[in-house]
Amino acid sequence: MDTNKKNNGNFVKKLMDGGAFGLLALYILFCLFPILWIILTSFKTHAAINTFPPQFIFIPSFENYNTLLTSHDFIGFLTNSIITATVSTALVMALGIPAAYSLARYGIGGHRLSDWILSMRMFPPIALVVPLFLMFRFVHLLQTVWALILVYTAMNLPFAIWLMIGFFKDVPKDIDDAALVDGCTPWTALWKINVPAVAPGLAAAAILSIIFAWNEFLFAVILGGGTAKTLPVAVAGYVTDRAIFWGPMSAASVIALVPIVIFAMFVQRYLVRGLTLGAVD
Amino acid sequence: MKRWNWERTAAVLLLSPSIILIAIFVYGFIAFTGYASLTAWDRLDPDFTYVGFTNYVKLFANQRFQIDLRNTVGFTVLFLIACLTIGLTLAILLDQRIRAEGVFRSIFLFPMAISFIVTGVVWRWLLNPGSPELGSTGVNLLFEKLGLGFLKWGWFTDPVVWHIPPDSGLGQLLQQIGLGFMASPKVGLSAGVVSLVLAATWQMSGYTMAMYLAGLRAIPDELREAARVDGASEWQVLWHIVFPMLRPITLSAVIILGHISLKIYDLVVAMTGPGIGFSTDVPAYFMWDTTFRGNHFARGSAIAMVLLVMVAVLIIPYLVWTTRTEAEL
Repeated sequence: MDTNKKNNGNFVKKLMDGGAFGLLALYILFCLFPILWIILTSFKTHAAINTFPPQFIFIPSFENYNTLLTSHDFIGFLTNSIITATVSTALVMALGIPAAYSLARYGIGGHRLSDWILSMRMFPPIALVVPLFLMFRFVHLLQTVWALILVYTAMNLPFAIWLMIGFFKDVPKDIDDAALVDGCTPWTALWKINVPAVAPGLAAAAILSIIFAWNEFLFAVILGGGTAKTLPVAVAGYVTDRAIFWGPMSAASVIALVPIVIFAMFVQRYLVRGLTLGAVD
Repeated sequence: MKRWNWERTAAVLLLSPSIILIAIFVYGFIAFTGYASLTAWDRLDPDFTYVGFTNYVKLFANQRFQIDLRNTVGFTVLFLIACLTIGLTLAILLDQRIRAEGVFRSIFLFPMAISFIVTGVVWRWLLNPGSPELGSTGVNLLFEKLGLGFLKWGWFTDPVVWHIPPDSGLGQLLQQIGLGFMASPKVGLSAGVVSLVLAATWQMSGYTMAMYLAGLRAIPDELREAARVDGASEWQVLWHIVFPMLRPITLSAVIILGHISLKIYDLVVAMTGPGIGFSTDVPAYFMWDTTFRGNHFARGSAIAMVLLVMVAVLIIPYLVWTTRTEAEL
């Protein structure tokens, strides 16, 4: 190839790369600024929040966090969020691991069944909420964390099963067969051999289930409501007819964000996969 | 053979609790909602007197519901255009094997993990129009500082609905052929919806980028290289080779983003509420209002069923299509 042309091409390529880098960096600002702003706001006093024009440099105050974390109500909401997310995830894993393993190992239903399972996630939750409300009212579980735990388990199970099928399929069948020949039951082969082999994948499924439960709002506001408020419901509650309480609202938002930020870093790949119905790896 | 049967039975037994739970949860409850929508249940305690499709007839005649449908359509179309354009652009830029690609990707994806409630709260602040007495804030202030003060406007607080003016040439033509409603606010885009789209796009365009990036990476390098050797420009490579190969990804993205936008509820609650003249109202919000504030359970169920049908129209063909392509593999 002509050396001159090649050099020229390199120059153009460099210029384009520089331009691409610049545009991407600009988009990063757009992505991060809103989050940065809510964090800044959470460290402002009531007076500083209502200053016009808004300030970037100010003396940070822990007023909002102090108010929240010493409030009995807010600690309750936080506890509700933690309980619903962790207990529902534990149930999802307990039910989902055996289901995913059998689907992967014995090929029951094949692709069709696993796609069908995943498609459950796409139905609008609002179409399920009336019977759920009636049912929980009937058994007196309305406004309890139990209602939310049950709903989140059912909501996250399809996706977790679908994701874990992929992981279990990656375990070579020979290992299983060898264990069975050695006198293992399928049950012990599952827990002693397969589960440890795919532990990182299972952790990803669990983390996603926690994130979905943690962020959920519709069921939380309708079935949890008054006495079983979770963080998103609490955050939305700072907007009232009379005023918007920006201080506590931003601090509560930040508290709701922190675990998500940490968890999301571990599972971003699966986050995409999960929403895409496997169309993209 | 005997052992195999036993294993399979065990597998089915392991599987059934989950499958049964999921099936009841989804199909059973949808069936119940469908049934409830055909009754006279209009207070907290159930009343299963069958009334046929009365609730649906009333619903479609309801002005708020018509506005909601208009908003949903506007939201979905704008949201899809914005996410697909931004997502594809970001993916093409990132695909240039850029420095620190991983960092970019993680940051772009990050908003997606946040709840719509927090997103709504943040954007409620950023798009707060401020007031003449106190001055501008948020994005309006940014416009002011950049010397783009003329771009300032009321964002989600502006009740304007853009539509074809009835006295324009097109408007008069539409009236003459009996389609006068198309030149009225009944068919249009409300300003509040644009603000909602901005927030939702902030949240989901990184996700669209990730889909497209995976699609781009699946295109063999040799294919692009061969075209370049044949003298194709970068644009021609994109247009004739890359875009056609991304079509399945675009279809998936449309389905996934589309079903998210039809279901949207939490963003509206946190960011705008139903708005002045329902300028930011959506069917899911109306459903919640009707059912759990007004105790009109049958009517609320009817709204839920309409939403369900809209989502089904979108996803069922897609599901059939994906299963069929997988079966061919």
